[in-house]
Amino acid sequence: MHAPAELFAVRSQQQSLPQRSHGQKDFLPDGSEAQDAKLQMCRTDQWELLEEERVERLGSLGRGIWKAEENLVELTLPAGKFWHTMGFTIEGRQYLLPEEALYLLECYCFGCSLKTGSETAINNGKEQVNLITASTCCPSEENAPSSKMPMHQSSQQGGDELDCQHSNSNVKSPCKSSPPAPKTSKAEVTFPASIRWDFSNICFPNCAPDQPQVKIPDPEPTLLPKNVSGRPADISCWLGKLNLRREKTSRREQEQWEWERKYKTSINADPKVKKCSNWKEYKELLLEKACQRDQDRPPCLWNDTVRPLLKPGPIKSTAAVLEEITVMSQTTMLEDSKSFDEQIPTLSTLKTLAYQSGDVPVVFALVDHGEVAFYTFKDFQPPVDVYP
Amino acid sequence: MEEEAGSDQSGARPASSKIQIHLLHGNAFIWNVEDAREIREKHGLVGKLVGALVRKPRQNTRLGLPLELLPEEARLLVEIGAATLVCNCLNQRDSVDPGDLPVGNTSLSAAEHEEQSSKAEAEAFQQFLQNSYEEQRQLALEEKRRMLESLSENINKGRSKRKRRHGDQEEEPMESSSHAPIMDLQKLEETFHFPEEAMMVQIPTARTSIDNIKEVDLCKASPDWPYTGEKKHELRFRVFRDLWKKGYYLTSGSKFGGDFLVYPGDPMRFHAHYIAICFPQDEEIALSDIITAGRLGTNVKKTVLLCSFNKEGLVTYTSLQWSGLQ
Repeated sequence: MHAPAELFAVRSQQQSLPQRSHGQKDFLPDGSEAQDAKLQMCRTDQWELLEEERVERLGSLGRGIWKAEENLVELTLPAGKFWHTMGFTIEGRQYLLPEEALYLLECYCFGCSLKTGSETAINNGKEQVNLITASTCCPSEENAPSSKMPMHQSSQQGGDELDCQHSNSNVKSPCKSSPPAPKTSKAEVTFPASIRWDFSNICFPNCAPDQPQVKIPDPEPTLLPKNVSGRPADISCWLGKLNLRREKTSRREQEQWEWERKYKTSINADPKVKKCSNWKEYKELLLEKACQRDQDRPPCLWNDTVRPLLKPGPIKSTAAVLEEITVMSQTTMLEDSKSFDEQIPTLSTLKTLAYQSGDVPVVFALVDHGEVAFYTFKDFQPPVDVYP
Repeated sequence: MEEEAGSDQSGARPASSKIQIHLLHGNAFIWNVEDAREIREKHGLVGKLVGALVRKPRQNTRLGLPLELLPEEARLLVEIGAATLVCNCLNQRDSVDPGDLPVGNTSLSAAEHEEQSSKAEAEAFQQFLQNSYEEQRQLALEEKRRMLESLSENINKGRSKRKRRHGDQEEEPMESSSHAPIMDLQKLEETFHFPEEAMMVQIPTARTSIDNIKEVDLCKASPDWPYTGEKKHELRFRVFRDLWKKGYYLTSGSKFGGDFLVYPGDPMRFHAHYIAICFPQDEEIALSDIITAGRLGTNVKKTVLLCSFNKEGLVTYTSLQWSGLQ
């Protein structure tokens, strides 16, 4: 321990850091005096830096008490500016998470209330930090994306309206954020085809994961194909897999969509399809079309054991071709996601966290014997189409 | 504040000349600057600083003690007889001396004892702080006095100048005012205020007593040293030791996707030449892994070394060179 005089002398100590390597590093040691001298300088600087003891003004140390049973540190004397970025308040008391307190202790903004055992505190904390690095990936309550709010409100409204107005006429399929128009209109039967749907007035059930009471009405039998029996939809397992991240599109992707909107035709734009008033009629139409196609096909090609991968037909874009001949399908790795309880989370757990965190980016750290490296997922949509 | 219960266990104590490597759940730490220095300069081992740097604690490009060692570094130091592995035992009296007292009795009296001694420690610490404050106040006072004395000439000049400007009507007090700074100095003892917050305190990072650590056996796997018998550790250790014996400096290679980075001299002054990747001798390596490794080495201008050891224990190296790019 430093004597008072040494402590006092720290006030006038050098504050700047010495150079790191004293010039460019060399390629190979050649045993020269010059190389040796440089190394000695580096080492001397290093040991001088490491020799210094941690000394701080008493007034600039915050203070806290470690509450083992709550696994928190209660702040008894705030000092410094750290409160802007750390800590939280419960019933008027200020608390720090163990890793926050440990960080402050390590940077000595913070005095530990254990009188002699600051080594123990740091040691114990190190172990916690190792464990915690992964768990800090979870966004905390306060950090939850604010964009959730409007979605939440509007959908609640939607749910109510749905119950009173449309409960008996709609088959709902879970739709992602893309416009759900085509699927539903296929299913609408009881109204004449001439009626255009105003989707701003049709409400869809809110399937957000924070809405456990979502009820999806049983499908109306008359709207279903003959061989399909309507059964209640259980979306609970699906809710957990929802990707809450806003899809970020590059300029190129947007142009692609733009192009698709312009040049690709919706199945619903076909007047023959529009004339269909129920599933049965639509199926008949498909059959009729298939018959027509088959007439143009030489049987030697199409009825043999080896067949072309692609059928000539309405496929117009490269993406559609890829879709047709694809061997591997894209996965979001969310299929068998587990809860996050293992010490080293699996890639799929990390991926799930990244999706569930919405707009808050998930950063995870790899800690390997003192080496710390941070990683984050970068959104990447593989290109599936080529410009015509 | 010595504990009489633990202090006579001289046999259980590590030899005082050896470096103590403090283990915590498989991580090896050096808390002492002299030890860190010896490890680097005498034994040519690097480790990794993981604590806040005292002079600039709130940044993370340059760090300070403790020094964390790779398991291979810690084991090597022990095997060459330079260090011992130790860990803290929290219930020291129970674990150091299990047979000394009946079991039921031990925990109770130990708890009481602990409470008493920690109370005494707290009081002693308060006393220590109080003494430190008094001394620092005295030092601050002397500093202020010295400062005032060195400035007294200037102060005197300033005062007399001001007097002259105010006119000559007050001739008389001239003489007394020239002595005013000295008066200030005399009064300083009573008026000097040194707030408690201004006092400097040390945040200790090492223990003064060593009675609550115990030695850890390298040959037995334990929570503090889980590496014994691990195939991967054995392989890495042999490669590490071989390269170290050849005079290379090694650090962790995880950031480069390998096991070790190999330097021709102290990493402070030299760049790494090789990325060492350890492979078991008897396992096949996928061709794609070799390509990946070769490509990686080329991209960072280092040579990839595939390392393994054969049945005779001889470590063999295969270097990869990407011939398409130069």
